Amino acid sequence: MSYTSVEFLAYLACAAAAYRLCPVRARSTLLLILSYLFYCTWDIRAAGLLAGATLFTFFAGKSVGDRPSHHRAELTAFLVVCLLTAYLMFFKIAAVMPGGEWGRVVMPLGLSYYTFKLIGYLVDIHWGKIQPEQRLVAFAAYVAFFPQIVAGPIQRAGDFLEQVPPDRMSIPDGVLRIAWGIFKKLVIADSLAPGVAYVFAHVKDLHGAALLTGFYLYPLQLYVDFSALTDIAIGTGLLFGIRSPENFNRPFTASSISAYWRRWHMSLTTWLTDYVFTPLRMATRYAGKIGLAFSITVNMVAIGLWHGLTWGYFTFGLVHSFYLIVDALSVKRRARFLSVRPKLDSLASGLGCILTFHMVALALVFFRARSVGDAAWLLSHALSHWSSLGADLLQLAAAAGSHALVVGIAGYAILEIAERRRPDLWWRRTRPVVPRWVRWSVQSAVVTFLCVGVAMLLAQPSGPNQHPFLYAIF
Amino acid sequence: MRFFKDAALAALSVAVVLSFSEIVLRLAGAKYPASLYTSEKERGYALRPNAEGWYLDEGECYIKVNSDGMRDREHSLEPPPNTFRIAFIGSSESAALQVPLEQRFHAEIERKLKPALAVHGWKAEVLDFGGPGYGMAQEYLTLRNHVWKYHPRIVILLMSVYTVLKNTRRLSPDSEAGVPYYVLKDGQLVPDAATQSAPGPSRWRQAWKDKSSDWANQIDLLSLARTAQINLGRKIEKMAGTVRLRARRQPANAPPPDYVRVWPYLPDLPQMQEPWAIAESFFDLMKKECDQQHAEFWIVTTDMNLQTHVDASKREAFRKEIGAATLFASEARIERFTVAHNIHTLLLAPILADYSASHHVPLHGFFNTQVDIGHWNELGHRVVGDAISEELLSHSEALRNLLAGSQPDVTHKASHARELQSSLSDLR
Repeated sequence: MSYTSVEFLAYLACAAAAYRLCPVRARSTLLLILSYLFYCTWDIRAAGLLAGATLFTFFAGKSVGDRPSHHRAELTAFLVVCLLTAYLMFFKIAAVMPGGEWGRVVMPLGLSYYTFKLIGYLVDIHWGKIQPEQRLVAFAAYVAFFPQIVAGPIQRAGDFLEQVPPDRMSIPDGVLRIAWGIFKKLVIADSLAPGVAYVFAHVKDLHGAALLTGFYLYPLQLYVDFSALTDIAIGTGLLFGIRSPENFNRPFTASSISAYWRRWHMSLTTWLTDYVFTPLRMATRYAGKIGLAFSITVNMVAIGLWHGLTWGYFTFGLVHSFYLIVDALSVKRRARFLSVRPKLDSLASGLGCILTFHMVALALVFFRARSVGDAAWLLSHALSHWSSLGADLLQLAAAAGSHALVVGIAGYAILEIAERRRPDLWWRRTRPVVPRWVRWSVQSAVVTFLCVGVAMLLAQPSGPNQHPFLYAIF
Repeated sequence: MRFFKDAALAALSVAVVLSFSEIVLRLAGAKYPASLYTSEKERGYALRPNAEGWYLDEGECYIKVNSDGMRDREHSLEPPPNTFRIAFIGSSESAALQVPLEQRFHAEIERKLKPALAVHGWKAEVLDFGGPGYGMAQEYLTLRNHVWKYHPRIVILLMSVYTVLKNTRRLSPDSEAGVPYYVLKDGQLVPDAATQSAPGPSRWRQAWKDKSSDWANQIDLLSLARTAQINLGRKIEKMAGTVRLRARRQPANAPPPDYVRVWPYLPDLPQMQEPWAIAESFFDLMKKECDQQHAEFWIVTTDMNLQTHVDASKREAFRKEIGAATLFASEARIERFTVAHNIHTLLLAPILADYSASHHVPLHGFFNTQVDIGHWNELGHRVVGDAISEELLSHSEALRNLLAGSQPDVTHKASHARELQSSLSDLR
């Protein structure tokens, strides 16, 4: 059941209505049932695995929390984390193994997300950040929480469990956030998708402008697609009274690569920073800059390989670790340079945004291309054959639909402005003081937009024309 | 007063949002399936004259229906001088909404016949009267009431064996309301009484429906709303159907669930005898109709996907699955009948099966469908056009007579005489 399918919206409406009528004390149970029902529409056997991993971690957490000896608790936590990592790795390895027996192994939906939730929960108990959860139902609802199971955000156990059982549903905010996500996905991301798909499917048949278009469009498509998925997840969470963490903060306005990683897929980045980078950095602090470089490399390669065990993801992680090492080692010098030249500060910030975007786009070529060879080809040929610029662009426009490309790019511009200006927050502030006709006009416009959005959802083709969410496969 | 002012401004904001959405949909090149049909008392439904819009189920094609309800360019009623007309009747294979006009087999036939006819100062014009989803009764009514005004010299029934199922109500339970059926009474085909008593659409209501469909085809937002409404209806129907299937048992004499897929390949099944008897009676009726109008009648049978599937192992697996000795038994039955009744016949299925096997290319299917499933693609049309034109050139008596110069242009002379007569009567 895709988040943009009519079936999902119908399920959501029924689930929210049942949730609204349900007594507060029974809401955790209902949330758990709803989450497993959703999960079972994908695969019942995978739901069994999810339940098994949940039960195992729940009791392991109790065991770690209840151990009087720190040493024993540490050993137990270490063993459980190793087992959970092995569980994750098994499916990740199976996904890249050639056919045969391995070919029959299907990766459970949201495996990477819920395994990280489980590992984080256990480590937090071990570090004493949280107490072991006593309510099995609440814990199982946390792990399987259906808005987050497909693609996060990866919420920390403490943050989620303190909201359970939720007593307040934020229906208007939730609906608006879901509508915004659907708009981003269907209008912007899906308009950019054919162009990107065409370029990356025909890398070696294209050159110059066409390759460069793919180079620039893919980061936009990935961001809009993934942030749309997060918007729908956060909005759905709000319908059930759960506030989820944000995953994005306008990442392409970051003026440095470290700032970019503080704005992109934030729930994964902070998770890896807390549970991988920081412990590693502490362990290697005696090694100075080499220790720093090592910690960054391990962290970034882990981010890359979290997506899958391929050379493309590995190279993606490696390229970013290179960026971050250079950034970390030069940050003091840059600060000193700019502190004595304050006039250059805003210029550096603007140029930094452009440079950061290009660096990110370059690394994403390895992320998206079918192979590292394809990625290298794209990067080495993107600046060639400028004499056939017009013909190349016409070829791409014909293959991907020029109208769709225009809407995708214009839509992205609207998205940047909207996320910068946040008209929703402005409206919340100004609504009580504006005259009635303004209130009515804005509300009518929003409702009309929602109706058009629902019609677009219903009118979607159900065949191979649909573009699934890019991050729903991890 | 203030309330109305505020409400009017709110309505204006709705209009602005709708206009903005329309602009965005147009800029995005959004395509929604168009409504191309109109209800009709005689045939149940037909292509709506002058309707235009996108067909998106298989491939993507912009359709323009001509002013006489044909998926074709405009044709004058009287053939232009030295023009030899060939008319096709049939169902979706003939209407071929999946491919552009110039890539359909009709255009291919015109191209292929051109050199042979041009030598004698003639040219061929192929007219398409195909109606998507038509059964044989609708094809017959099209021939009887719509074809002759164009004075074709050859009439070709492009026959899909699937349409045999549509000869009885029992085997086509999902057909549109008002679709005509014929039954055999004392060996004669007569219209089904239920068809005749079905009320036709009210004229004003139909006119409004047609007009609103035309607007919806032109305004993206209305197309979007219509598509959404249809899809929602389908989803609800699908869910309701699942519940019904679970709740109710099928009656004992109901055909098996996959009969539409299997029975057309098995003409000797007892359940298929009635539809086949009706089909053969229609062949007879059409032949008589053509004889009366001095036109040559042909039957060209289309293929069924699994007869010509590019993957030969799939053909064989299907043959074994249905327990048939051959996948061409229906064609053999048609051939036996047509030979006995002196009807020109071309069986396309074996030709297409050979072509796809030897060239390893699918003749059906589009980018948005499964491989080699559905209607003919552009290549399929080319191969079909080649096969039909070759057969016409070698076996059509009408064409042979024309090329031998033994037959004067009777139709043209007749029409010229009619024009002369009407001018004279005007003068009087």
